Amino acid sequence: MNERGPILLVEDNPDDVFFMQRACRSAGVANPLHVAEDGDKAIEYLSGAGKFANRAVYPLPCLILLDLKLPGKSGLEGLAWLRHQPKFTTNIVIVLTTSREPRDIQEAYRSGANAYLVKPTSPTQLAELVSAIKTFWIEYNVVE
Amino acid sequence: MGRRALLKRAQNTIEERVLLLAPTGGDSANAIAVLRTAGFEAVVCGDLEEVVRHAREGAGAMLLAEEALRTKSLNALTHFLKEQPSWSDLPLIMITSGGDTTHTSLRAYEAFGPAVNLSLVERPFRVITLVSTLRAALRSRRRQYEVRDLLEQLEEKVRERTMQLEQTISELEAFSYSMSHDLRAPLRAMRGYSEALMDEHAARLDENGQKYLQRILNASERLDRLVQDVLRYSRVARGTIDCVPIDLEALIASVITEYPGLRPPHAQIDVAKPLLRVNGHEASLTQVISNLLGNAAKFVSPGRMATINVWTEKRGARVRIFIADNGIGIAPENHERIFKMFERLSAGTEYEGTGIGLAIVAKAVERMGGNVGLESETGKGSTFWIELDAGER
Repeated sequence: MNERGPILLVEDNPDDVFFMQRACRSAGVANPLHVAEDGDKAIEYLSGAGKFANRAVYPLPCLILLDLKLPGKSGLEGLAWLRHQPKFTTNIVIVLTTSREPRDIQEAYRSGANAYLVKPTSPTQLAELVSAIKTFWIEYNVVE
Repeated sequence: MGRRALLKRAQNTIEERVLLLAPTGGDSANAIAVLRTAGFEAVVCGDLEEVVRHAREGAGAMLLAEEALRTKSLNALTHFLKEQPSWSDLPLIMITSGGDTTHTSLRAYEAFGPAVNLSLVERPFRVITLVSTLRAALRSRRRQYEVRDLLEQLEEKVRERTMQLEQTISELEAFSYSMSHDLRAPLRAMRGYSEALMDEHAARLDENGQKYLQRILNASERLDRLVQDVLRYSRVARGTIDCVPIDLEALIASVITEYPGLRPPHAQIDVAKPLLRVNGHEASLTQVISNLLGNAAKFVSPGRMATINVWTEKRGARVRIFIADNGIGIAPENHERIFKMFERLSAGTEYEGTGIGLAIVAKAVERMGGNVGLESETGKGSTFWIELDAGER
């Protein structure tokens, strides 16, 4: 069980943030959704730096949903940073991106992603996807 | 005169010079006198090895007395002549004894074989004979240089073109990469907000409002399919294709599992087992088979269930996979067209499609080293086939 902590959504597109919030609601995800707009913000959040210093407000996430194409530090760079931090080597990172490019998929897994999901176009499909994430990664999957 | 021009002239002198080897004093003195008078650049060599050494640096022709060829160094010369670049055929003029063909001259002649550009001049030679033979030799040598220069230009051009092509390809790659990331994001927003509007606010829209919204939704779905198909095509066209033996029965079963449209009540697919194994790239072949089965299931007369037959036939070292349907068929004059990008035969919205599916099939099969074709007539169904190398177990 992996039910503690919020979901950290690393996503720069406000539309996609909106759709993810909506999908979480309709899939009945109880964990709060926190958003980091790019790789640097995600690193700040995870290291508890800057405005994310208060762990009571910004607890470590149970799950990271990571977009690949971000302004500043890319998703893969953020992932590489994360896997080099001893305390984050086992955190669940799910890549959630538009690209189906074999290059992106290979690099994501090589950099230590736990799963690679392609953003569906329709909100209905996104809700189904979030519901599957909730069942597998939050309810069934066991973490330390 | 600039340095470049000087170098060029020096190079020309080397390339036009005649290498002379005549061990007997009389021959040598005669020949040198004739060459100098006629304006040839002559280099007098002491032995065959020196001839070969000079020839490696450049020469227009060689003038050798047959006595000079009796040495062991003859091998060095024949080796040099054999190893010339493809454009080069250095003329060799041999001065032989007059009268009957001697054993020696015959042997020298045979030593070179038919592959050497060899002329014989007999002693005592007439000046006019020697001069005209040399002129002809140098003239043919100049032609060889022209061929050499053309080859160099050609290679330079090929290098340039290759570089340009590589640049275009990498630009196209960047384009299609950014398309896969960026192009679909606004589309997702359009579709997402339309759906959200429909879900949450449909009641507040009148009938026309709802109709317009539905049209936006339909159009964005169509555009999404289009973009996805273009991306599929570009992945098939650019990606690495490693072919391995593939179990077709399992592949087809998994395609049917994935698409509900390939099962009753939409379609009935009969697979004539056992299917032969083919050599292919699994992801590409899955794309090909699902596109062909999808088409077979789609293009049926309204209200009719598609009946699809799949079988394989061995053709020499190849295997042909057949997919036959009971659909609306395709007129023979359209058989070529349908494999091209964006070609659609059915007008309007009767059959949904992007016009890219068969272009993906053709490109993927081509990249796996196969062929594709069909037999069909309007109203009589279609049989599409693809042919790939047989997959050995």
